[in-house]
Amino acid sequence: MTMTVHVKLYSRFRRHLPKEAQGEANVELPEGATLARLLDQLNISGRVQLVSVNDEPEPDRDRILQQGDNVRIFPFVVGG
Amino acid sequence: MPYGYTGKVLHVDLTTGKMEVEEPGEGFFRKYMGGSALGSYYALKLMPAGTDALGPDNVLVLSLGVTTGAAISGQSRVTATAKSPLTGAIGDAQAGGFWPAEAKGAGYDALVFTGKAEKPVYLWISDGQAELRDASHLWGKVTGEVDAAIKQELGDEKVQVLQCGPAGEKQVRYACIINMSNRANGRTGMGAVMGSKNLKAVAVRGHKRPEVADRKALAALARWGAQNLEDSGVYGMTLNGTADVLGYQNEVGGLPTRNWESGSFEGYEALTGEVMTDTILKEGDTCYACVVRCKRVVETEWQGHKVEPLYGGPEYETLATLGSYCGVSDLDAVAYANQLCNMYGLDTISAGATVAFAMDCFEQGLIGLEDTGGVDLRFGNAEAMVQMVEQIAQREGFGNVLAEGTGRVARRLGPEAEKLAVVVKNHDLPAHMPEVKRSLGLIYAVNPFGADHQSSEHDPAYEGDFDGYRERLAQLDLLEQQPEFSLSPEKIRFALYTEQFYSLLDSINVCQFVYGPAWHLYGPNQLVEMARAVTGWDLSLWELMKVGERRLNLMRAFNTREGFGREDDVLPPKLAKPRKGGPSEGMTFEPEELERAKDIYYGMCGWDQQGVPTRAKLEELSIDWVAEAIGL
Repeated sequence: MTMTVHVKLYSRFRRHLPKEAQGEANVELPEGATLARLLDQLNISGRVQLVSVNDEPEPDRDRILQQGDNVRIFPFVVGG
Repeated sequence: MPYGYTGKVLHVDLTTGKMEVEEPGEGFFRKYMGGSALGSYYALKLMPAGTDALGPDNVLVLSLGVTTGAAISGQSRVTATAKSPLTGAIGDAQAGGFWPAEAKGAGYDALVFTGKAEKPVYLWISDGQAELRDASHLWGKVTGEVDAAIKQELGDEKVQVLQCGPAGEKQVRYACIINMSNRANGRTGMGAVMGSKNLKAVAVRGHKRPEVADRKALAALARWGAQNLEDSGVYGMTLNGTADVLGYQNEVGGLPTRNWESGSFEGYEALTGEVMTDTILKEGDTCYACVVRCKRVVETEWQGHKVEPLYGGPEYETLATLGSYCGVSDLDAVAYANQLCNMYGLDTISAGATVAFAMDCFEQGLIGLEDTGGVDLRFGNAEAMVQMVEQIAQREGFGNVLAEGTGRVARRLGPEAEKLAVVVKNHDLPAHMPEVKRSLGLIYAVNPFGADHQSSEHDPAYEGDFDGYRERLAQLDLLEQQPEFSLSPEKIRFALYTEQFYSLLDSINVCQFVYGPAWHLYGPNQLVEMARAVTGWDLSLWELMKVGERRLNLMRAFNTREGFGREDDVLPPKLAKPRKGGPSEGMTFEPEELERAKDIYYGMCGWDQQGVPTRAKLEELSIDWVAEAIGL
């Protein structure tokens, strides 16, 4: 069984999706997959600063995702 | 023979037209390096106490640094220093571009302007030869026109032009200095000082920059930068400009919205760096010899007005102040307002923040249509925002009132308006929120030229279990990550040490995105390597940190002489009221927390509890002459 979560990637992480996706995609995962599994599937490893699930910050990479979850992933970003 | 710098300072008396070249010697340049350490030195030495910031006695210094013009990223910077017409304290602003490297080639490390020209002039420096030329025909023209006219007049497209813009001519208190029509010495009203002196522009051309001491070592470091850019924290700016951070700021409730009512903006998605890249971005742009290429060049249209590539594109701060501060989520409108700021020479931060403050007053009923000349100044009204920016730049209508700056307008409108003024020392807060970055709140309060986001490292690099930049922070003896939102003594130490490091960057005069204590392309020890390779001096990080500390004490001493003290190092009352909505819902920054932090900070600085440098501290920094200057 699989499920689909919606991901939005920011800054340099956008390059983990095809350019035309402009940083957003529906990602298919095995049911019961964790946040760590999602990051792994997207090939995101270094300097993750913030992940939010359904508008709430989620520091726990073992969080089990649900069908339809909205996930936003930020690297360490700066600006001035 | 000096390496990296010319050893020459050009003094220009605009009243008499007389010019003199000073050669202060190697020891002077090693001690002050350039930037605002050098600028503050001349401000203290040459300016009488209590000088009118818009009068002829103000001293305006345009300074480079000992490494400006060397073939490596992040060195092409110019600092403007003078007494600020906005704050009354020391003024300070940096810009990049190609002007600084060209100015070094033209033969000087700094230009010191005193007096006031009888009629508009511009200074033309070509390979060491300087002359004042008539600028009457340029007065009133926008930056792009002036840039083109001077190049045509001098018959050389490679001339670089720095200028004040019409807003500076009209002495808008937060007018900036612009070079290349799109690079700004943005803050503290340095463009108004230029305008008050009838100094329209400084054009430079140079064919030979000073030799560097160790070209091989410098080239190796430059190569390392190019090879490691993609792995560096600054790379997001290469992709999306400084606005790369906007989405994150909103996500943590740190994006000032509707004049700081909230830290979260429902319309933020239209303003992100990523959206700008996907829509209106024409290309990235760079400063001399820099691989980061963080500058944006946009092309679009707003309500029939063209937004032209000549005027660059909006930075993060601009998208926030002209966007979320005003409740505006129209990227094209913000890009057009940004263009107006660059055409007329307005600081985008204070321009947007002042309009947002006026919108707040309008929403609260403190001003009405009869005050605004019929402009419906409600939050979210993009047309009103653009109209106000245009009026401020030209000192027309209600814009003439707002040209005085948030603090002065608030005092004129009364106590209820003062509660809405988000300023420190009359300087509008930039778009990073102390509620979610506590040590930044302390720096906003104590920074000599008012609230500033480029004067210390921000809290997230030293918080929680984030370990991306521990090795670099350790080079500054910062070893113990602190809990989120803390303002512990260790966090204050982090604020102070990184403040001193950033102060060094503004003295040696390099870019704070390229060099820094954490996520930057180069870390602290690499800055030392770079400075050694360029100057040939056997420098250490310890010696360089002392330069940064020296600058802060010079600036602080200037302010002491002008009557500033502990009571001026305060955050605006609005921050003590809870934020509304989003992740920072209910968060505040209370005065009591700040006062406790100041006790510790002043002690760590070696200042008394009024925030005044002690004679012993000034002697320790080998600037005991400053003690006499401020009557200690």
